[in-house]
Amino acid sequence: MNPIHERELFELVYRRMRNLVPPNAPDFEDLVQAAATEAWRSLPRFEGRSELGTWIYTLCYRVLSNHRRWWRRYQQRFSVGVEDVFPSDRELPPELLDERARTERLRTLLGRMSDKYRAVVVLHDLEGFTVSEISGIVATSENTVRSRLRDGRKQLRRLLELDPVLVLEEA
Amino acid sequence: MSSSEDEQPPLPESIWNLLRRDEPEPGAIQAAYGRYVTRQPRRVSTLRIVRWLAVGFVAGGSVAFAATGVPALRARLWHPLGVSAREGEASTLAKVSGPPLRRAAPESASPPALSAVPQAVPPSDRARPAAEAPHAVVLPEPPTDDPKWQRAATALKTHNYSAAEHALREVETTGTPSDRDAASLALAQVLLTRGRTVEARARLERLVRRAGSAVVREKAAALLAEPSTAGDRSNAVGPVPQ
Repeated sequence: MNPIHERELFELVYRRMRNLVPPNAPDFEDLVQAAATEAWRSLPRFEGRSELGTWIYTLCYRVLSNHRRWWRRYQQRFSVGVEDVFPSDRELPPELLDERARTERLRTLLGRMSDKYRAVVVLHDLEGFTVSEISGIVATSENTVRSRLRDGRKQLRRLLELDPVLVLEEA
Repeated sequence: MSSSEDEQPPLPESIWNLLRRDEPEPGAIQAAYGRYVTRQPRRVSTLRIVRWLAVGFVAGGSVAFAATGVPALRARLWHPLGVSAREGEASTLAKVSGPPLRRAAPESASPPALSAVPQAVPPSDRARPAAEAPHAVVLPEPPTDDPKWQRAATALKTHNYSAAEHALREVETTGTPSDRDAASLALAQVLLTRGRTVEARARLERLVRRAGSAVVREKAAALLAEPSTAGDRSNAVGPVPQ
């Protein structure tokens, strides 16, 4: 394996975490930094049995699920009111929304999905990983991956139906 | 079992293309990387730690050696061959503190006041540097089991200067070279205390030139520099009795 610079590794981590977590999530940067630290520390143990990108996704997903698990426990103990943020400019005509805005809305919708489902849907439909590869990344059985993929798509479709702009895009 | 992907068809590609085209801004990545680098604890290599430890060890050792080892080493170097190990170990400084010579040598040849008598400093005070007691005479510690030294010390304690002088002269003639120097210095101080400056001066000058120990040489020079040693009061007439 060619030696990789820390900056390059950081960018790889950043891009992958951006697919797993909406970049406007409040903890996005914390997650990127935690994953980048973990990646840099674990890089010498990377044996090249999988693609570097797959390995980074595995690592990012692990960091994400650990972090979110901790956050759920924290919320149970100290009730922190986190407001649901849903696009408030729904009344805007679709023509006024440029691609960037539509992308942001899509990312926001993805952010409303649970991490497990979003990760599987994104990895499968956006990144093109097979079910088998995804089961390795998220450390679960292939059947569970299939189940999450099905339910995740259903969730996302329902969310998209709520947003006229993205419904239009879908059409 | 049929594939679950068939059960729930994928979302249109246009949706995903929206995300594929959405490249992160390089500035945002760079800024995040900057914050990442700043937040990262600085990685210090083991070699660097070992190097600093070594430097600290050497520096600490040097200070400790300078504080404790140099006088002993110097004393050993100055002692001629054949000097017993016991003498070499005479690094710990003993003090026979005395009053300033100006006060110690009164104008008259009358016996010195009690306060002017050289005192044997208790062992706990021996380690104190000479600088703390400006008028103290610093001598290499004599062997405690030597009867001549013991006689001299006892005589000094009881202010019996004749006996002290006699004992010190004995050491001066029969002792080892380092003992001779130490005894000469102590004797010179006793003589000064008794107002016999000429004899004391001769001894001090000899010690300045020939003493093996630098401490003795320095102390002898310091005593010579005292104004009270400038003139000879050996033959001075004591106060005329009223």
